[in-house]
Amino acid sequence: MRELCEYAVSVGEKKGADEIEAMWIRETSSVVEAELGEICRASMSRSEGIRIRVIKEKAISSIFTYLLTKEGIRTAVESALAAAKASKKDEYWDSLPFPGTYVTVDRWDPFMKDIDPEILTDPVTELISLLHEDIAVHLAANEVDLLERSCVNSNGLAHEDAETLQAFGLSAVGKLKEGVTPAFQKIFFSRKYNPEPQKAAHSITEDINRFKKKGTALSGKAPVIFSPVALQLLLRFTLFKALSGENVARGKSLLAGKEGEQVASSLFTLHDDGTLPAGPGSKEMDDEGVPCQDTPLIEEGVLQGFMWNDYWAKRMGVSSTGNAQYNDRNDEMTTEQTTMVITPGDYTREELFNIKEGYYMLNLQGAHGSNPESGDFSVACAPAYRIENGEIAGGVVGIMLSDNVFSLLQKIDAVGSESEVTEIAVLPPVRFTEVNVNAM
Amino acid sequence: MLIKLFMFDILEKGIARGEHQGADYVELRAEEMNLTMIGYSDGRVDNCNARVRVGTACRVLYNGAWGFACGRIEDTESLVLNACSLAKAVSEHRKEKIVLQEIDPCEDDVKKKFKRSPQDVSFEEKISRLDNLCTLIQNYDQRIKAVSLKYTDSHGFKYLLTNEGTKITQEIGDVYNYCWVTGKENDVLTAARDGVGSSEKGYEYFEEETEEKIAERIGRRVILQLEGKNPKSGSFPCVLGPRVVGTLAHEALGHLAEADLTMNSSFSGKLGKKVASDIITMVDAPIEGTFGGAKYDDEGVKMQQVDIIKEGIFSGMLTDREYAYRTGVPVCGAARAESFLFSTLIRMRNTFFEKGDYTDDELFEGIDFGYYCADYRGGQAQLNSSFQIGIQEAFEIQNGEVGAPIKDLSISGIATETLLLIEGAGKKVGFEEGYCGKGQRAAVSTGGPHLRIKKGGILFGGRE
Repeated sequence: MRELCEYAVSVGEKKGADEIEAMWIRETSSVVEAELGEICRASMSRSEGIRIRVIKEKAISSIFTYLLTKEGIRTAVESALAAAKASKKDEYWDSLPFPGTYVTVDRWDPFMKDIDPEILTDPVTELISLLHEDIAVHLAANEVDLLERSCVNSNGLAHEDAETLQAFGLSAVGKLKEGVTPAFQKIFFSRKYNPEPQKAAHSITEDINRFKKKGTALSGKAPVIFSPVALQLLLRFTLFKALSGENVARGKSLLAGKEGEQVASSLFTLHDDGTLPAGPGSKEMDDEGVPCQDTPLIEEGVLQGFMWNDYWAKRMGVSSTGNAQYNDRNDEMTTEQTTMVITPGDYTREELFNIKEGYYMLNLQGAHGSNPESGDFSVACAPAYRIENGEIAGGVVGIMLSDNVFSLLQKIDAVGSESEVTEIAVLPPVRFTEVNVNAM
Repeated sequence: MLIKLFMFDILEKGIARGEHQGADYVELRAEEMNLTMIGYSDGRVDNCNARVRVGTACRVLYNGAWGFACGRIEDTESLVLNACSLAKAVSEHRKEKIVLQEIDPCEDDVKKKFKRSPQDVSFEEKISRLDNLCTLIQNYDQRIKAVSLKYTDSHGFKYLLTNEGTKITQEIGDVYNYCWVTGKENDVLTAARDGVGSSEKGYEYFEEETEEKIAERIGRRVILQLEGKNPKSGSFPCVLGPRVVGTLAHEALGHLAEADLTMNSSFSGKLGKKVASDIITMVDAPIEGTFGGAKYDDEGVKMQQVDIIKEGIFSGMLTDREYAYRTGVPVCGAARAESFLFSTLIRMRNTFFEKGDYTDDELFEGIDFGYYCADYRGGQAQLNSSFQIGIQEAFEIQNGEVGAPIKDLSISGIATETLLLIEGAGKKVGFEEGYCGKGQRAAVSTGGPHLRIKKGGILFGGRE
């Protein structure tokens, strides 16, 4: 589809755009789902369109169209140019990105292309059959997604990439005498087709059974272990926002100006690694065609730098780190992580849980309502467990954590040795010495 | 919108193709939408974006299982074939076949009553409004350090055709304004949000929801955050304002009254039983003038009010046609899809608590120490009825009076317990517009009167 992008760029140049960028995107998703313990639906969705960004006298506009004929593209370019003319000049605008060198990452599994729904169905059926009847499946799914892109701009940049991603898993509750447990989720992400129904069934059964024994939650400061999923949620809406170059440049990050300073425990190392093959956010190029890379953000607790898209990097005199992300739902170009990677530590699970009293948070509620500017968060924890004498004593309900992420990062005393792949990160469980716990 | 003239011709061919394949039910939902987004920060236009969203969603029920495919309108017939083969593939794995609640098919052409369609307003005018809003917010207080604004609008048509005879065209659209504002004083950095919109009014909505009103509201919230103190941890008696009460309605029971969630939740089997204080009536309804309402849902069912709680009794659930048949509860028009790219899900529309008879003084009377929560920032529900609501504007209550402001906090509870501890409801109902993210994005409204909740009902996530 490079030809369509090149056509859009040529039309824009002829019509008087100072600069123009065209990004063709085709997303294909196939999924088989089960509800209430039975296969219920097979779906295939395909979204294909082209996003055109135009700059005219330092004013920026864009358009996304699903009409991929030459006429449709011509009309779209004209609309984008008209919008740019109506928009405001941005004195800080420099230019669209220039060609770069891309790291080739194997993120494509040909088996997932045109996959048969029967093949997607069998692992879901097997997963449900492996669960005991006291576990109720709210939703189980086997989904494969294909993303294909082509980017061309008037500065000579031209690149294509393609990726596959499988998400296989379920959300289920344990039935109790009175009501149900909170929902437990187990989702495995993979670049190569590899559904693991036995692993998913075993893991969620173990988690739910451990929860059924009741633990007691007490208010006060206590050691807390965050599962990879819970930690990803907490950091996504706090620390990761503070590491966005745009937020640093706009005075919205408490980490601004702290490069070289100790901002976390020396056990904490964080990279944004867009080149990691297993990373669910890894890509060859970001959403404006800049090569993705491995960017050290925090090394052994010391702040190394920030994530940048091309605009804010140029405005602040640094280089883009390939973190431009186009938010398709909101139609805005932002600076976001690709795949966040926390370096695993030395602690086995037994060593990590070796505390007299504390908590293990499997998932959080309301992390998206955290305050990214201050780093303050106040979240409910569900599912959550009480730990006593190095063992999980039972599940707890009605428990919250209220603290500040920047002070918490200094209180890491153990990092697990095994990482998990989550929606946006590859990370191990992490233990914090002292977190403010609220209980009813 | 030239396609509009030929739309039903295209869809009718798709229906015939589905029936020929042996599908029991064929539903084609097409749309042609124009969408605008203007991103704006600190006086700079980040982007003026237009999106033309055109496509078809095809859903078929074949031998008791669903098949769904979506794509380009011109590919409608092949989408139908695709959906049929997907449904055939999975139907053999079902023991209990999916059956739909019968409805009376209808034909309708629903028009919008916009005085000013957002598509008729120039980019220049929309940007000028944002310029003014940004200036007003920046001038509210010198401690305001960063202003991020987002304006979005949509306007277009949805078309629904089924093999049962439903044939509906609905003109739809909305306008929405979002602010995220950062404040700084010494080393303290904080932020607050504001979101307002309408799916009933067009651009004229901003004649009543003026830049001055928005700037005053968001500016005040940021400064209260800067001046606020840390909340205490624990459970206290509290009064929740309409914006927070709406979120409570949405998160605490609203989601668990969506029939697809109810069946695996703490409210399963509780229909007809007491779940809340006697003074509580909570409904979900397509109220005119609020976000989330329409005449028909995306299955062609007329939207109707559901009394979720009536005087403390769990009385109704939100259903689509599949879950209406499965549960024996009437259809209510709650099947909604974000766009042609998605299949329908059971979604709330406008969820709110009905008013009570407490005066403002009575709501606060007798509370020696507690909290008044006036505005929220997000929330989330769990199937065991655990709910969480982020609070961005709150105050202490001291001796029955509203006192010092409180910094960011969140509140949580277990709905099966909290709803029983509501002891007072105010006389005025207020609404809030926003978006819910149950896998797909849906415009919703929430609301209610002030509610007073006893100690033990709400846990405050404080740090002292």
